Amino acid sequence: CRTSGTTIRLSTNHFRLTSRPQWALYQYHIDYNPQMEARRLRSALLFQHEEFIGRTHAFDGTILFLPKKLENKVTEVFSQTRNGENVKITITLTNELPPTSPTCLQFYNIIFRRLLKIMNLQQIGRNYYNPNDPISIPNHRLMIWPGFTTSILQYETNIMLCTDVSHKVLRSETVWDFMYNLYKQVEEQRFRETCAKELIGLIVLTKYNNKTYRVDDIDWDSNPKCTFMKADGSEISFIDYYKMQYNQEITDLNQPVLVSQPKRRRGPGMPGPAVLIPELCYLTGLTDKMRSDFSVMKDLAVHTRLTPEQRQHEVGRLIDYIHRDDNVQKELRDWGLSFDSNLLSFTGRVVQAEKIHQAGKVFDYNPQFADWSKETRGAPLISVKPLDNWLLIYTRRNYDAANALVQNLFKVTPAMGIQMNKAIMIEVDDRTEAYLRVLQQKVTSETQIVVCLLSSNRKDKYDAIKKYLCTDCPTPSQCVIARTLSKPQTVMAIATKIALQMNCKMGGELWSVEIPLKQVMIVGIDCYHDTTAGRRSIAGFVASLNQGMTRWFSPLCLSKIAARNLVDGLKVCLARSWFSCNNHMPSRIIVYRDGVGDGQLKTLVNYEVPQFLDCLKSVGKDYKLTVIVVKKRVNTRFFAQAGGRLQNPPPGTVIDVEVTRPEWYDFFIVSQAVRSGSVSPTHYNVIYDNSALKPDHMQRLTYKLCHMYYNWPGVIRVPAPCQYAHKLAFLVGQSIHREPNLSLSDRLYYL
Amino acid sequence: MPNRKGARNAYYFFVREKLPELQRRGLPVARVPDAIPLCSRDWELLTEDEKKKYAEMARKWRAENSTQTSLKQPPSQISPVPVPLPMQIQRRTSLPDAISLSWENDQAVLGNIFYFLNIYSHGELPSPCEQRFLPCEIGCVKYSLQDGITADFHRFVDPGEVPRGFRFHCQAASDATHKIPISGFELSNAGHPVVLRELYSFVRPNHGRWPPVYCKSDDWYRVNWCLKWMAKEAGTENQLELRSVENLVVELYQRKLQKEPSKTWVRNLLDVFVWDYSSNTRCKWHEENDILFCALASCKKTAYCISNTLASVYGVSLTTAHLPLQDYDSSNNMNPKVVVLDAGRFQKLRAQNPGCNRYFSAPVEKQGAASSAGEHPSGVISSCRTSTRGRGITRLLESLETLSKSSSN
Repeated sequence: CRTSGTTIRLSTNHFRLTSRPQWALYQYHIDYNPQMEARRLRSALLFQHEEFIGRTHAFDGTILFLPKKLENKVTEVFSQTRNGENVKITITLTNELPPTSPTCLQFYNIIFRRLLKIMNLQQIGRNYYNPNDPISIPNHRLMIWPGFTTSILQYETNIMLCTDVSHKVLRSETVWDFMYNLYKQVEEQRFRETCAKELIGLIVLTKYNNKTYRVDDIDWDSNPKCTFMKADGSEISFIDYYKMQYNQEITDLNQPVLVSQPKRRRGPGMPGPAVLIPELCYLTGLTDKMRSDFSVMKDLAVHTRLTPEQRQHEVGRLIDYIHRDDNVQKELRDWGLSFDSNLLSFTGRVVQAEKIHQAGKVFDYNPQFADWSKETRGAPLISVKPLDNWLLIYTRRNYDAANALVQNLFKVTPAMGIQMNKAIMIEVDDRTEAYLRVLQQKVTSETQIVVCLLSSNRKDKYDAIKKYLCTDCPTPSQCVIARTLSKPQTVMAIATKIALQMNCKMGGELWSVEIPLKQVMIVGIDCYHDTTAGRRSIAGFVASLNQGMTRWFSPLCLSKIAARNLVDGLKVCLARSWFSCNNHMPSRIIVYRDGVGDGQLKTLVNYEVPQFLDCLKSVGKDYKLTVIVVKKRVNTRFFAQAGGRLQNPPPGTVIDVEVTRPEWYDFFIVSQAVRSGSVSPTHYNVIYDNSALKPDHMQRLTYKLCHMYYNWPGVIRVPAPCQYAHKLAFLVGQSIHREPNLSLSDRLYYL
Repeated sequence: MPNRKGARNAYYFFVREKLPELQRRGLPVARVPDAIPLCSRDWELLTEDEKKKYAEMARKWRAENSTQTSLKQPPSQISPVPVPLPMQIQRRTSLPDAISLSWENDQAVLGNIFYFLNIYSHGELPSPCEQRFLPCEIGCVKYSLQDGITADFHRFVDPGEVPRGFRFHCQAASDATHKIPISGFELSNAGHPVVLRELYSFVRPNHGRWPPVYCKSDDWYRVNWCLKWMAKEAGTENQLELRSVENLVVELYQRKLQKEPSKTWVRNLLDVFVWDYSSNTRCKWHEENDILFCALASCKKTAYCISNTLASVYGVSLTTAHLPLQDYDSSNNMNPKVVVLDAGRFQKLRAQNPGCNRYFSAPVEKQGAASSAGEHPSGVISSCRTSTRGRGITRLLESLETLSKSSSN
């Protein structure tokens, strides 16, 4: 048997696009003599001959697509402009495209956008929303516009439309409403200040053109009666402008106006800031306050987190619209195209569940939940580090929490096989300085781990502690927020997790799964991009050290993501660590590369992979190299058909048919289980492979690696090395901002 | 050989005019090409009219060169460069002893007084905006190797009206760093002229000459811009000459050890975070709000860094004015409470009595903090100074007793 696992009936959010037999698209080039510049004018001139060209056409100014072949290869027609100027138009057939041609795909997407417009869906960003059918949540003054994200691509055997549900969360109040309410709440002299604080930085949506803007400033000195200069030089007031341009009536003539800076420069002429009228601007998105409000998020989740059944229903609605709308059907018929009315279904595989090995014992877990925290509770770990000399730093207010933590650690550690001794407990003031001073005084080279009990999740305190303990004074550290220890019914479970995490940070190993492949080194790479302070991007680099993939080496975090640096990392791993741990060199290297967009794939294949190969050649010996790009954000969803209902596919579902791409060696794996909503699969794209490993083995190995993330006793979405690399890059990018000390690199200190 | 001099444009002439100033700042620019990347921001600040002057120079030069290709004479002699600021000439003439510092012997070097200055802004405004920075906080310290920090200066500045449309930009930049409110901040009540006058009276001229003021080269552009701008607002000329502290370190190091330190070494020396949270480093407001970024702290930390590495080279004994030493010494009187628990005891007890291991068989047992007193647990070693003074420790000991009792039940 070539592939392993049991088969499963799956369906996916794809619809086949079919064209009638011998279908072809005809591409024409249009020339004007004399030259005409404006695109509008060009199409107006061309479509004076609509009876000749036909009503079905797509024209972008130079290229014309028609579903039919014109009689002659070159046709000349004459049009007249409004000024009476005669223009010669030359229509030249340049191409006859089969349905699978890449140009056709572009064309399909253009046509599909046109269909969405016919159906009155509004484009916001890249997605299309339906403002006519909003879901309103009155008690939080929120509104959800349902919508879709769509793309048409060539898949394994068919051209398909992939569509997923998307939601736009709007607030059902305008900026004006918001200001008015605020005015009633705060005193007069503080009103402007409060208003600025609350509103500046928010994103607003103007419904008259469905565009979003960020509020950069509030201009209290202006009002809708003010005038501005139009492009043609004439003066017009905002009231008249909005009336004329968008047919919007402004009622309050004394409101201030909002100022929004355009996003980026377009061309040499910098457009001035956009001036918006509060009355016409709807607030969008959620504020931080709302985000931290549990009841808001819960009420939202009801509408946005869709179960497989609901999701299928919503996606089906789009296809229903397409099939029911006469105009849409006519357009499609004219082009000779049609969409399937059912979700694509096919057969996938579920690979068998792994066995969890832990210090001689073997555990099975329920594959439905993909979690073994219950099964392995109280079982000894593979390798433990005794706690002989460790610090617990707490503030006086958190004394109870510190006490609870120590007591519970004492209770849970013996079963794991961890010897615990001598907790040095230090009470400090609740100031960053006090924590640092204690660290400077008390942490010695013998200190195995420092546990800091923090009273809040203030980032700067955490950052300061991590910075000191990862660079100047390399010691593993564990920060715990006191509040998490406050509930007596969960404190023991939390202490268990903390004990496991501490053990990993000190270099212990928890569990393993059976990995039959020998002499293989797994590498994980992920990137962290700091969006705010203009800091450079950071790449985390992690490599496995042993056969069981239980020990990892994290030598460096690179501030510059260049192929050269990654190659250096690879060399360090090979030469220094793998060899010293195994006394021989690995024969295979498998790289899991996360944080790569579709646009960068080419760079990866053309530059990074050859550099890896060169590096391996220079180290000597023939290595087998595999590079796999991991993508978490995909719009593809899979549904398992079970008993007439749709469910999430079980963990371990592998899909390598139908929805994969013909030009790639790629597959999807659903490795995790979710409690609510639909599970999202992870996409794996093998961009280089000279190891001759069977696809089935590659998939199995990938799935096995998803079991190996020690911060979670279950299966996760990505292979563990990717998640480790992510954690490392995140810690360095968010908190440390410099290279961590090398002496920590043989431990998972960044968990 | 191709005529590489064929590409002199207006910017070239601008850079050439800037060259002496850059050299005075100690930047390694020998020729115009070296300075090309360093002047772009200043160039952006010029108005169209100001740029015209340079464009004219370039045009003239091109005209000269197209007729007379072998021209060796620098074009400045054909069309003398008008020097914009008379002050600069004055400085240039007094360049040899512009530094009112003495470098004759070690003793003199030790006594030299340096001022470290930093000015924070509400972010950097993007280019269409005339104003580049919104100065909001000034910190300055007076420092000598001999005496350490002898005086400091700190003011919040009223940033004035935020240019229309950039409020979000400025707010976001502040929130990411020093967190000073952009408006309605009661501590920033003094305007630019007042604060600048106060700064000038803090950094007083020495024998009629202004002492040099230092800041990190990364901050140089901002601090210099703010100084100039504030002077302009106050209707005066900027009196302070700003230099890079990196060069000062190199100079001090070279004098004593007769060799030049590497650039990385200098950068690492100045980029230290151990004193980030030391007491008596940040200004009162930043200290109380526990915010890391403070203009005063950045100056003080520069002083600490120099003390820490160079004072020993010069054989100066460190005092609390050099380094926040009290933080280290204070361990004697600060007395953090320390308890060492011998956990082995618990594990032994647990082994004897599997009943207490309910977690693995039954829902979690509730461990309340009881108050009963029992026998003193033998496993607790309290370090000599801590005894049982602290309320926290006492309670810890008590509850340990409770625990030991409950587990032996």
